[in-house]
Amino acid sequence: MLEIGLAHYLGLSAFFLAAGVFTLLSRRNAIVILMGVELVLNAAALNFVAFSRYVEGGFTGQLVAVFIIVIAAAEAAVALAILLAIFRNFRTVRVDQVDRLRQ
Amino acid sequence: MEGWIWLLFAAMGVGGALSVMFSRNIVHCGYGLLFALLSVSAMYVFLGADFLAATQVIVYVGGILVLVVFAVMMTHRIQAEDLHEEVIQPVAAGLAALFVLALSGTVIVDHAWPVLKHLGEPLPSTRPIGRGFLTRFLMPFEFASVLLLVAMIGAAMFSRERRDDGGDD
Repeated sequence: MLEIGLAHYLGLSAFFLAAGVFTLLSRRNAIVILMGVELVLNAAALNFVAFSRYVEGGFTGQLVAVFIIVIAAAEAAVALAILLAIFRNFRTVRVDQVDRLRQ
Repeated sequence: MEGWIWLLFAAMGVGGALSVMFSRNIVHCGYGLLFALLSVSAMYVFLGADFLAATQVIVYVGGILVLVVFAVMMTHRIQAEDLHEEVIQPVAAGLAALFVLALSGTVIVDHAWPVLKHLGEPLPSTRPIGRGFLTRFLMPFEFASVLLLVAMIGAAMFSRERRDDGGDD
């Protein structure tokens, strides 16, 4: 019988965080970098909910996780809109090729 | 039994995250993110957060992931994208990620977390979350509403086609 405790959730969340950081730092495609940001935000939300269940015993952590989801949605919408504008101007979303401030 | 099912979902999330990290095909990255997000949703179910699990699927899988795939379709010729050297500076990024992982792992293992003695059955969470939004978290809730409105207007403004007819759009 395998008992799942707080440390399991924290470990999974730490892995998501590390995966997100790696994606953020190593990729050059801006859309994949955004996916890394989503992974990091999910890791944070998972931590909040795990602590809410195992340490607090209430619902505050879940409320904070809802706010994290809201912020992630707003961030994704604005960032992808900016990406579309960049693509229209540069014909690429590679962050190492977008290096001019004016046409 | 529950533990093994948990491990299954955790493995699904780890596989998805690995795909986001290393895949050379951007569509495969999107699918990897899908599996990672679904895994987090399953974790919410295990933690008794029913409202959050549903919200995660609706907002992330139904909203953000569709947005991401949309952006991929609009900015890439699918299958024609030159993806060699997609991963740059993997050594430095790997070191940074390993540092983050080691730091978090040390804290997780070493710290004596004040875990509750008896967890009890998970309660339905929708009603307390709604009450929290309208009482203690009213101000953040209103700020979040304004933030979403601003983000929506901003996204519409950025993604609008600019016409080159001299007028200021």
